Amino acid sequence: MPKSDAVLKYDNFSCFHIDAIPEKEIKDFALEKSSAQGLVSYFVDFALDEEENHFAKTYVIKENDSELIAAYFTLRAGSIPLKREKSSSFDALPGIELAALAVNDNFRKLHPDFPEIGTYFFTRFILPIAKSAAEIIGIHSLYIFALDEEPLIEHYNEWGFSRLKPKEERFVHAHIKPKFDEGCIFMYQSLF
Amino acid sequence: MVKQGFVYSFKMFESLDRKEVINAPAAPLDKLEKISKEFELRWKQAKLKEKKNA
Repeated sequence: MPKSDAVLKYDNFSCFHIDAIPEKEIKDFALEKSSAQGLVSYFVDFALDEEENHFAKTYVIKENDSELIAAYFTLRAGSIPLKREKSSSFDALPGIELAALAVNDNFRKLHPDFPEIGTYFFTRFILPIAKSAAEIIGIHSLYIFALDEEPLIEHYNEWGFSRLKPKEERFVHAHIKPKFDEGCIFMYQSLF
Repeated sequence: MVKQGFVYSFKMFESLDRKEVINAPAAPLDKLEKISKEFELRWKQAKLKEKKNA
């Protein structure tokens, strides 16, 4: 597939792999919250390298009319460790990590009447791509490490993500939470 | 041996109290679809208005 081809295309927005996006456009991506600057840094400085090394796939959502970047999200293969009873070992439930997701504040400011835009992108782009991967290999869950901010946790709850019981959550955090997700909360949902 | 190993693992999987994890809720598709359809409609209307005013 040529790099410029959309992965998913609707009347209003289309989704591309990051390597189809000019660097200048990527550098214009902005988030205002100080706690979200890691997401900007990942997108601008690291996402393309990770794409090329097959460590993750970053998708960029652009508005068709303006061709502005509206959001990006990153998916990577992963697993959820589940502790075996009375044992220090664990089994693993196959999943996809929604490793990053951010709506461009520069785009959001142009459309203040559409606060549900993130929910729209989740429904129209993230879920279908995750489900299409789950059609060809065994994937049970979609999971995220959410910033430990109550409104954000509630927001992900509305998208169907749940927290584990405290003991299970501690186990997962101890085994698969990356350094850059320190302080974040594991949340997951079944894809089926 | 491989087969035994697999059966052993499978039994371990079955014996664990993980039904809650495996039966985790999925995304509330009806609700998300409703929000998305309303979004698409409102977005289309806003774009038409924008073009009309241009």
